[in-house]
Amino acid sequence: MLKEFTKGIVKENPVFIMALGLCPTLAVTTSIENAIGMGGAATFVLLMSNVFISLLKNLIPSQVRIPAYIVVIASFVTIVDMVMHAYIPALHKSLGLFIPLIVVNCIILGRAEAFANKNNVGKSIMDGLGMGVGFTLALVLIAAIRELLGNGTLYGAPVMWESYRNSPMLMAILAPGAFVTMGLLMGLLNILNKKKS
Amino acid sequence: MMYYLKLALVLLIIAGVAAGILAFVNSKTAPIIVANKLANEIEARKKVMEGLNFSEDFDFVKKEVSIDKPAGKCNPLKIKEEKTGSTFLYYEVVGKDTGKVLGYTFMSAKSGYSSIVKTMVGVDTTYTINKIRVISQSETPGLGAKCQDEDFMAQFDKKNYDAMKVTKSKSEIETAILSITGATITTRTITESLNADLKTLAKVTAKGGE
Repeated sequence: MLKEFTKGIVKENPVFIMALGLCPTLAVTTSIENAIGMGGAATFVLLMSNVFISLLKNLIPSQVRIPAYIVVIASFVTIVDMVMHAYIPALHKSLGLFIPLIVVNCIILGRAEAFANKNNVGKSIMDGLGMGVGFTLALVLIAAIRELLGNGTLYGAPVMWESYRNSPMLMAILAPGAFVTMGLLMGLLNILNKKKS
Repeated sequence: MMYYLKLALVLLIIAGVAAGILAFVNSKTAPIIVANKLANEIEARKKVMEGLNFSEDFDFVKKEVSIDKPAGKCNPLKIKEEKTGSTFLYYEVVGKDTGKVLGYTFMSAKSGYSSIVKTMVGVDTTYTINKIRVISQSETPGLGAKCQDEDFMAQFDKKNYDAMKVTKSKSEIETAILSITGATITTRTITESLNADLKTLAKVTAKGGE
């Protein structure tokens, strides 16, 4: 049971190993705050959709399973969107379009199709949580590097010296920085994995 | 035949339940969202009039004037989100005792680099800006998003209308607005939207005003 949880964090990390959900990964990792917000929202949707799809798996005919999954996922995403808009408007504003786009995040449909519709609720919960945590950690890691280099801060707190913060490495926080950071991290993880085996 | 009906029925039930749940959540959150937005605007409106020392307390009076602006190029501020075509919405700052107009506030909006930048502006009766507050934007974090920094917004204090120019280096010219590094578009958006709307404000208050 615990294995279903831990596999999402390192061995089958959705971002670094499975390379799923890269669009939001690249887009929202400009600050740690955004990364945590996005990770939290995606984890909630992942967990809830895994639970419901695992519960409904025997009721949904397999010919219409994909539209049924999408309806379930889209409902939870919309709930997250509305609740966030009402209670944490600042975060909602900075994540903007990427909240509704969780609907098409491959991790969520991927886990529904590959895991939740074959396994029981307990396992699906662990899988959803594990994948969500793995996704969040990956986002935070990338965001920490980009925020530190591109803005001189970590979670909004100034870290680098002042002259650096006045003219930081802007590329890190722009789109190319996202690709470079993620590529280097993926390569690094591959080296580590190879050494292990 | 029955089989296909069953498929459709299952989907219908799932979609129906989902719609019901969403309607419920929406009925709970929608009022809060509207209230938050209103509270933000009221607070910003008070903020942009700070520092102007009037001898009396003041109220905000909502004014809506139709202007001859081609639809589509209209100012998309509005408390209601609908496209009103060619009306210009502003608030008169009216003294509580004398009933005299002491200044104006309005919300200026223009689409910037990656979002619509909404700026609340407070001016006195000579259309000199008192303060501005960028109240809504989702420009690039670390670049355009710096338009919400106090240092940047303070540049607009006491600037006169229709005379602000964006520069990329520090200059001695009084009307210059120093561009945010790497976010000239955002800076220009705010400056241009203020210039245009101040011009409109001057026009409507001069001819149709009190």
